[in-house]
Amino acid sequence: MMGFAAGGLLALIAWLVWRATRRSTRRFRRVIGAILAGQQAYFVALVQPFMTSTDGVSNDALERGWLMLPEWVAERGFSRHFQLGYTFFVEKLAQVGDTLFTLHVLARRQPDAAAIQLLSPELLAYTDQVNTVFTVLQALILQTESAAVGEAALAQLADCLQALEEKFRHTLPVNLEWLEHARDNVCLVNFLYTLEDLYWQLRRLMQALA
Amino acid sequence: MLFRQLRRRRQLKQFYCALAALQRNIFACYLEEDYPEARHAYETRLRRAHHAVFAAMQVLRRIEGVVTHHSIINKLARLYEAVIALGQLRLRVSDRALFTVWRQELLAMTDVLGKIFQQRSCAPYVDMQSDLQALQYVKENLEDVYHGALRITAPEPLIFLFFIEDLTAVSDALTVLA
Repeated sequence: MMGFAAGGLLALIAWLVWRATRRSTRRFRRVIGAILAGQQAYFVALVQPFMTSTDGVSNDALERGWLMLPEWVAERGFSRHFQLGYTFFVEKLAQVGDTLFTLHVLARRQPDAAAIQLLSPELLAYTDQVNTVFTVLQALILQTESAAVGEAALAQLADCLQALEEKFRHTLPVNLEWLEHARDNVCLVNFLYTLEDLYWQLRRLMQALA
Repeated sequence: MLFRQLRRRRQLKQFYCALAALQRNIFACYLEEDYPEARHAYETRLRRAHHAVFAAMQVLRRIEGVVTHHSIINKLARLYEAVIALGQLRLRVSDRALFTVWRQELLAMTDVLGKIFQQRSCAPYVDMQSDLQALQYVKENLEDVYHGALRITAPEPLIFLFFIEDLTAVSDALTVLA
């Protein structure tokens, strides 16, 4: 009788822990999905000013997204077993946010318009594919897509990045001496480097979900 | 009107204090030797510093209401973006020994930026010419070390050139605010 009661109590505790974990997992996924959506909209919006040398975009939505970051995962008391995976996500999302702000700084500096015009087909293709990767990431977070779709999107993104880099190398003579004398072009090269940083960050997020 | 001005002044103070903490945390990632081992702790502190800046910005946005192109909100956004961009270098450099080449200059830079933001937090509308000159002086020292050592020893010297240009963006953003 006592064994039955003890077993029942243990089962009840295990069920309550499981339910709390599942609830926090669902809450985490919803918040991460919303933040990714905000970052996606921001990225698409900021590439346009870069290409047309017009005004920048408002940071309001991205700031609000940042304030939604689930920092409670780093609080004491949150399950250590789950904490490492969750804090990895929060860290990587924060780095994607930093990268987007860096891209905005560079877009505001309005580099060489003629060079951007030459690169615009590849740049637009890359932007479209980043948009797709963000959409797939949100679907994977909410568990409405399979990992294979994510891998395909990433592979296409890598191809777009490679095409952009090859076009850039053929179009402009990128070497240190050229950049040190033509400092306006440092901004353009930095923009492409930062796009590559974004690719690697999205790739790590995607691989973590696969 | 007066109440709104007082609120704005108080919130600007919080913004600049948060920005001083943010730049301090960014430069700690370059200057502290235990960053590779305690990366999670540094990144968590960095995120909290970001959080404080954005919380202050959101309150300022509510106080200002409609944001036009020349509004102070856009100028402050430009400033914090430029400061955040200074943190990209930590994600690009794998050989941390390269930061020891720049150590004194990075220490001087974080001191100057900290002083500028602290002064702005006490008096947001004061003239900044002498501060901008100090910033320019430290930036030139950084460039000298880059040309003298990093350009030759670093496997990817370009990323240090990007950092120097990001400092120019910070200086430009401060000039616009001045």
